[in-house]
Amino acid sequence: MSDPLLEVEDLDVYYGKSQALDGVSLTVERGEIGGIVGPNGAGKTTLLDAVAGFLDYGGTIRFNGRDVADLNPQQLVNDGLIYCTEDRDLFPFFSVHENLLMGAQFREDRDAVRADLTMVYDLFPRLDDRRDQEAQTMSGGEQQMLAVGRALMGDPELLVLDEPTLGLAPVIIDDISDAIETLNDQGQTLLLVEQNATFALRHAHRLSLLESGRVELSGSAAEFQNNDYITEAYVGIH
Amino acid sequence: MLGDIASVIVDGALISAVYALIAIGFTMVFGVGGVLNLAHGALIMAGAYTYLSLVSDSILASVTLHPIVAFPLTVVIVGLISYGLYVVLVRTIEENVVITFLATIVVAIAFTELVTLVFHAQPYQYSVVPGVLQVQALGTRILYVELAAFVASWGAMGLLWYYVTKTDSGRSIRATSMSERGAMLTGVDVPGVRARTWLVAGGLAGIAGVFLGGIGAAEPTMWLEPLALAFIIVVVGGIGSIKGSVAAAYIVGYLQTATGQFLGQSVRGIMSLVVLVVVLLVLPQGLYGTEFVHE
Repeated sequence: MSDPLLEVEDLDVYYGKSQALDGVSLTVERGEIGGIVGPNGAGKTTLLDAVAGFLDYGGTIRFNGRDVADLNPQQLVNDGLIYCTEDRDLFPFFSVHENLLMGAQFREDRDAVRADLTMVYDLFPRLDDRRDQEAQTMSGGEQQMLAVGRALMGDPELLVLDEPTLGLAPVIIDDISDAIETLNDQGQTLLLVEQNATFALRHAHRLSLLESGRVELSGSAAEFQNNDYITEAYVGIH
Repeated sequence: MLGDIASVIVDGALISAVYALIAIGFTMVFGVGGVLNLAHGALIMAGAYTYLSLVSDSILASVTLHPIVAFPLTVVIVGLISYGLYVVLVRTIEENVVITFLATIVVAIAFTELVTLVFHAQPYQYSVVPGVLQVQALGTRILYVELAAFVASWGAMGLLWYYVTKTDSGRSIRATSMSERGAMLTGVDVPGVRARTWLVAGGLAGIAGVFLGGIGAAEPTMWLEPLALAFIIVVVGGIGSIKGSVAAAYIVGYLQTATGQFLGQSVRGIMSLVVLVVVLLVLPQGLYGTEFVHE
């Protein structure tokens, strides 16, 4: 049944002697939006750092059939695993346009890069208005759009978003929401990691709940929505 | 008096361009890898002695090249020496900032000893572009070699500007100095960027070395003053900033020239140090220091 783009099996990560992740397993299928929810400090970012090749780990991570342990972050980016971090890690003194160009710097097909630039500016018209503005002078929401835009310039097979709504105003969250749905409709596979469970539930097809370094629950969006623990602890009463 | 002022304006403009070249290389290497490369001065000296060896028959009797050929060849050779220094030595120790700093001092001293051994301590005069241009209207004169240094330096800075703003390869260098993690997330080959930066910095130091040796002389201690100046310029301009280096090179260059002209050659160096202290107290991040964000 499955054609997983990302497979994580029995993942352990230690920082020194303290264990950050304990036997985490999950998959993201091609074309779907995978979701990971969980409280602050549960190990969500650690999981993504391991997936993107930034951490040593025990267990197995396979991206597109290849073992991540054999690849460095640069090779993973080349293979289409693009990671948009919580800190965004933009180039602060580059303009919007230069940041976007950096996202595509490793690509050979310049026509495709030009087409992607148009696509990103269409997706986020605010970026189009601010092409020459330095990234550091923009608002948090605009920076988040730029971070997603820069990631898209890398032509991702899998777009990994870490806390894309953190600290953003509701209006901006709606823009990010629309962008995620548009991209997924076009066939983009995403892994969405959020403390904001309401947001994750709105978009993800299948989710995992991460608490204290373990996957406590995994299932479809419908299963998550009908789960009392999830609704009480994470979604709240609506 | 008018002639003195004119000569300060002209000399300052000419020599500052060379200083800028030295400071840019120094600051770029620091920006992308956090390495304070005290062997940068040795690369300047390598430029002077390589050029000297290539054009003069008194060193290598079998090799006497025309300056037009010797100059680019020198730039390439010094670039490769710098690249080799990074790949062979610095890359293996760069994680440890103090060890790297000390290692570059050792390289600088070892290089000085080597030059003394091979070429002896006496200064070698050589000519890059002979002749003097009399500027009657201003009552001053310009050495052609100074003019050539100015043109070559600005030419090199123009090429560098094009490289780091218009090409992916060059833009990656600036990107890495702003955010190394950002660079990794966008698929930049960070070790490759560092090696390229050393190559470029070496080439720039090579150009500066040829002209500094041509204006003064090639001698085993010729790297000390330019290195000290580069250090001052980089701090004044803001560590890691290319734009700041060019601006500060002109401030320091003019200050030095004016001090030498009006207060005497013996106090030339003092004013730059005063500026350094003032900048450290008043504006510790330098003119464009915010361009450098290190994690």
